Amino acid sequence: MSINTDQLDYLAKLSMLLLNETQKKHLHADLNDILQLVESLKNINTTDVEPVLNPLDATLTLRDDKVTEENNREFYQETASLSDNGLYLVPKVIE
Amino acid sequence: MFNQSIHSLALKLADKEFSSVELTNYFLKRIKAYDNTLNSFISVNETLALSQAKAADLLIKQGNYHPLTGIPIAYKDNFCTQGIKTSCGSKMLKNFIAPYTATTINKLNQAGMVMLGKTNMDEFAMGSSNETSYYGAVKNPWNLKKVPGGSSGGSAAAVAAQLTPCAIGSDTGGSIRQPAAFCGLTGLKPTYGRVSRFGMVAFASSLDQAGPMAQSAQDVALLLQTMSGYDANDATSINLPVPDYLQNLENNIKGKRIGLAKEFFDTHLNDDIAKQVLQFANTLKGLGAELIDISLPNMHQAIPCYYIIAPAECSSNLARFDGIRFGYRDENATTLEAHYKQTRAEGFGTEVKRRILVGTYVLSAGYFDAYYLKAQKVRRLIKQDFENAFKTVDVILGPTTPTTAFDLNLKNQLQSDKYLADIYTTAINLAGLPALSLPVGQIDGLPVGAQLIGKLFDEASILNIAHIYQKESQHHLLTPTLFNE
Amino acid sequence: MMQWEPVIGLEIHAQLNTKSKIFSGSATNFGADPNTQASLIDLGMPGTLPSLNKEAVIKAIKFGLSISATINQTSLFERKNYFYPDLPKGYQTSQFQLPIVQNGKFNIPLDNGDSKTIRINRAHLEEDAGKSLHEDYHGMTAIDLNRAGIPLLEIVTEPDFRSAKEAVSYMKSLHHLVRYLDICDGNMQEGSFRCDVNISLRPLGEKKLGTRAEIKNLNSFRFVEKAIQYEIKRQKKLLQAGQAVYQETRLYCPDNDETRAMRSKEEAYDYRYFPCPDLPPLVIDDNFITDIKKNLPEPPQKRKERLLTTYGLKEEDADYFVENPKYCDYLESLLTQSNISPKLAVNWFRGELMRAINNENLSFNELKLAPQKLGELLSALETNQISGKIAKQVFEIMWETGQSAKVIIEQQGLKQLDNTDELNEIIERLIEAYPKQVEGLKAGQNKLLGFFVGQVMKQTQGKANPKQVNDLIKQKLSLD
Repeated sequence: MSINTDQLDYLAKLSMLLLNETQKKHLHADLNDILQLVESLKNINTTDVEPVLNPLDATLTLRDDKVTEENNREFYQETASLSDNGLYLVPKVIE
Repeated sequence: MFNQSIHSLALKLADKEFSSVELTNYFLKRIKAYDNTLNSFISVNETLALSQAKAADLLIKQGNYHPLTGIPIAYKDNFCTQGIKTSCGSKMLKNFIAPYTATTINKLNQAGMVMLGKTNMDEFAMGSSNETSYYGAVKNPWNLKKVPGGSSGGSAAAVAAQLTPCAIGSDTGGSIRQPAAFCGLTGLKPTYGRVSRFGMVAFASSLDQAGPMAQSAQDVALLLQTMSGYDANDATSINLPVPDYLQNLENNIKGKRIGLAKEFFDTHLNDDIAKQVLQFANTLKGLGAELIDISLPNMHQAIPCYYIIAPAECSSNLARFDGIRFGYRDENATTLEAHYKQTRAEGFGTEVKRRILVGTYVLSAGYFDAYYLKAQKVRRLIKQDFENAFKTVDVILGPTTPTTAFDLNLKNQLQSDKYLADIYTTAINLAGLPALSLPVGQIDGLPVGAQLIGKLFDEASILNIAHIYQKESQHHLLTPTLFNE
Repeated sequence: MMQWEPVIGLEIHAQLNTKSKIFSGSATNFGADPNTQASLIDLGMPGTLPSLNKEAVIKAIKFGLSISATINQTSLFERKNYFYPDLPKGYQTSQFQLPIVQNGKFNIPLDNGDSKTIRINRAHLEEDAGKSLHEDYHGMTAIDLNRAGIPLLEIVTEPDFRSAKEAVSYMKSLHHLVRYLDICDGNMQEGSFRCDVNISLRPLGEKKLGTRAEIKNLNSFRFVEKAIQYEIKRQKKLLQAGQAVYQETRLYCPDNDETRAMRSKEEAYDYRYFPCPDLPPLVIDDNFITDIKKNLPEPPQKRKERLLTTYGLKEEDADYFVENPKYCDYLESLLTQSNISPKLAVNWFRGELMRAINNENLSFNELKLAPQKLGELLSALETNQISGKIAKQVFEIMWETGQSAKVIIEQQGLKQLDNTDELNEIIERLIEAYPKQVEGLKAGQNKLLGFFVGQVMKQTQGKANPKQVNDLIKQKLSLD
C-alpha cells in the first residue's frame, strides 16, 4: 500500500505538523518507502492469534484512593512559556 | 582511575586510595579535554557533581555506603533530572528543566552515585546513529569518521572514551545494545518491567526499557542490582523480587544450553562479524556450555512489526508536546491551530516527524486493522517463537548488529535501509526479553558486539555467561587509543 | 401530514466522587484555585505515567451491579487521540472496545404511572478534561487543569427514548441512583453530572434511524428537556421542508432557547483509538466483584416499596429515607430492634434526631447514638412509661452522656405517675382550691380544662400522663 499527497496532508493535519512543500516531498517518499518495508506483514497468517496488549501479558495493579499530591503550581509552571495568575494561556479558542 | 571497572574503583574508594571528589574531578577534566571532539554530552554540571562527590566521600568516611557510592555516572538525556536540563536531544525541550527526577536516577542517587552530566542521543531516542540529535552528531571514539550508534550514542561514546566509567541508556529497539556494540561496551536491556519507566521520557511505551552501559558484565550487574525493582508509579513495572545478580556472576556455565538461531546468521550479516560471533559461541562451548541450533521463524517480521508499533505509540506519546505547559513554543501564532502546527513543526526534527506521521497513519480510521492490529498479532507470534525456543535452551546467542559502526553522514540512504540497523535487536523488545551486548572482537579497529538473550527476568544467566567469558577474554578491556592520554 | 417519531439516546458523564484522581494522587475538590490540583501526571509532564485508582473501579462496578449489567472481567483502557488545550497529553485515556460495564437495564417511571425499561449499552471509565476559560485573558484562552483526570463514568443508553419527558425521567432516576450508590455527588451546577443527547427523527412506523445530531454538555434537567424539544422542532421543520439533518455536534444556548452547530467540529474526528501501552488490561476476579456486591445498598425502588408496604410509611417519608441509604439503614434497624410504631420512629428521626445532628453540625456518619438506644426510649414513650415532654428530656441526656434511656429514667425518677388514686387526690384538692374555675368549666369554658391539667402536671413534675389526667378530671366533674 502507498499513500498519496492528500493522505499525507490529512496525516499532517491529524498530527498537527506544519510541513512545507520540500518537506512534504521528502516525507511522502520516506513514508511510502517505510510502508514498503512493513508490507511483508500482510503475508503472515494471524488467524486466531491474540494481539499483544502488554509484552509480559501482565494485568493492571490498582492504587489506593489517597491524595498524595500537594499544590506545586508555581514550581510546575516554571516550565511553561506563557502563564498568568496560575493559568496556562493559549491563542483564543473559538467553539 | 583510567580504564578501571566501577567494581575496582569502588574498592579503591573504600580503601581511601582516592576520594570521590578526586575521581569526579578526573572525569570532569577528561570531559573538558575530549568532549569537544566527541560531543557526547549535552549538559555537564560540575557544581552538582562535586557536591554529590563530597556527600559520597562523607558517607564513605562514615562507613555508611553502597558499592556504587562515589562512582561517577552519566545519564542519557531522556531521564528527567530535577534542576538540570532534560532535552531528549530535541529542540522541543532545549530549555526544559524537569520539575522531578526519574525513579531510576533517584535510586542511583540514593546509592550515592555522582552525576557528571546528561548525554547526547538521537532525538526522542529515534535513530540508530545519534545523528538525529538537535545537538549535533556524536563521534565514535574508535574512529571519528564513524557513528557511535544510537539512540544512546552519547552514553556509549562517553563510556568508551573513558569520560565516565559508566552510563545509563534506554533501549526501545536496540538503543543500548547497538551503540554498546559499536563502541565496544557491555550494555544490557533488561526485561520489560524490570526497571521503572517513570521519569524516562517515553518514545514507545510497550518497548522502552532503561539499562546500564559499562565496561564489563560485572559492572552492568552492579548497576542493574540498584536500578531494578517494582515502582508503583509505573503500572507496567513488575512486582517480582530482584535476585542477587552479583552472586550469580561466578556460577559455573557448564551445561548451560545456548541456542544459535539460524535467522540471526542471515544474508544481512557481515561475514567477519558472523565469524567472530561464532568464535564467541565456541569459546563458551570450551567453557562447558552446550550449543544448540534453534529457529525463530518469525524473526524477520520484527522490523516491519517494530516500525508499525513504535511509531504508533510515539505518535500518541509525543502529542503532549504542544508548547503549552512545557517545551518549545512558537510565540508568533495567533490561532490555536497555528500554535500547534508551528510549535510542533519547529520543535521536532525530521526523523521524529517521519515517525509521528507513520504512527498516525497506522492508527488512522481504515488502516488500524491492517497495520497496528496486524503488527500486535505478529508480535504475539514473535513472542511465541522465543517461548518455544526457551523450552530447549537457557539463553540465545547472536550478533547485535549486521555491521560494525558505519560512516557519519551517509548520503542517499533509503530510510528503510537505515532501519535495518536494528534487524537483530527489535525482536527482543517486541518480546519483552532481556538481552546483553558485549564486545567479542574487532574488525578494522572497530568493535564487534554479540548479543545474549535471556528468558523473561533471567538477566542473571546472561550476566553470568558474559562475566565468565570476560574472565577469559580481553575484548572488553580494550580502549580507543585516541583517548589514552 | 407526516408524523415524525423522535429517537433519543443519552450519554451521561458522572464524575465519580473519589478522593483522588483516576490516574494520579491529586485532590478532586471543586472550586480550588486554578491548577493547584494538577500534578505532574495531570499536566502530562514528559516521563510521567498513570496508575489506576481502585476506588474508581469499585464505583463503576457498583453501578454496573445495580443496573443488572455484565461486569467485564477484562476491560481495557485505550487512548483517544486529539489535540485540545485542556487535554494535556493530547489523548484522553478512556475505554473503547472493552468497557468495564456492558448491557444493563434501568426502569424509569412514566407520567401515566407505568414504567419503561431503558437499555444501557455500556458504562465506561475515563478521565475528565481540564477547563478552557474563554473569558478574555489578554485576548487569549486560559487553561485550568484541576478537572483534568477526575474520574468519569460515561453511561450510554440505547436510543430508547421517544420524548423529552422520557429522557428527563431517565436522567432524574439515574441522578438519584448515582447519589444513592454514593458514587457521584450529582452536583449539576458544578458539572458532576452532565448529559449529551443524541437525537434523530424518523417517520412514525419506520424502523431505520434518521441522521442524528448530538447536543453536548447539558447540565440541568430543564436544559435537557428544552434542548430536546427545540431540536425536535428544528429537525421536523427541516425534514418537512425536504431538507437534510446534518450529523453534527450542537450546543444548547439557554439564553435564546435554541441549539446551534459547534463551529470547530465540521469534520468527523479520527480519534485513532488504541490500547494504552502504559496500562495493562484491567482484570477483575470474582472475589472482587462479590465483595462489592455484599456492600451494595438495596436498589432504591425495592427499598421504597418495603418502606411503604411493610412499614406503612407515607410516600413523602419513604422518599425522604430512600434518598439516603444511611438514614434508611438507621430507621430499619430502629424498627426491627424495638417494637415501636413506624410513625413514632419517623417523627423522632426527622424531628429530634436530625435536629440534634444539625445543631452540632455533624454528618450522619458521625452519629454515635445507636438505633437500639433510641428504640428503648421510644418504647418507653409508646408504652406510656414517660410522657412526650419527659422523653425529650431523656433524649437530651442520652445524647450528652450516652447512657441508656432506662438508666436515665430510673436515676432521675422520671417514670410516669399512673397511680389513679394519687392523681384523683390531687384533682380533688384542686377542685376545692379553684371553685370559680370549676364553675366556668361546668358552664362550658372548655379551655379551663387545660388549666387543671396544667396544674396536675406541675404538681407531679410532669410525670403524669396528660391524657389520663384529662379523663380523670372529666370523670370527677361528670362532664360530657
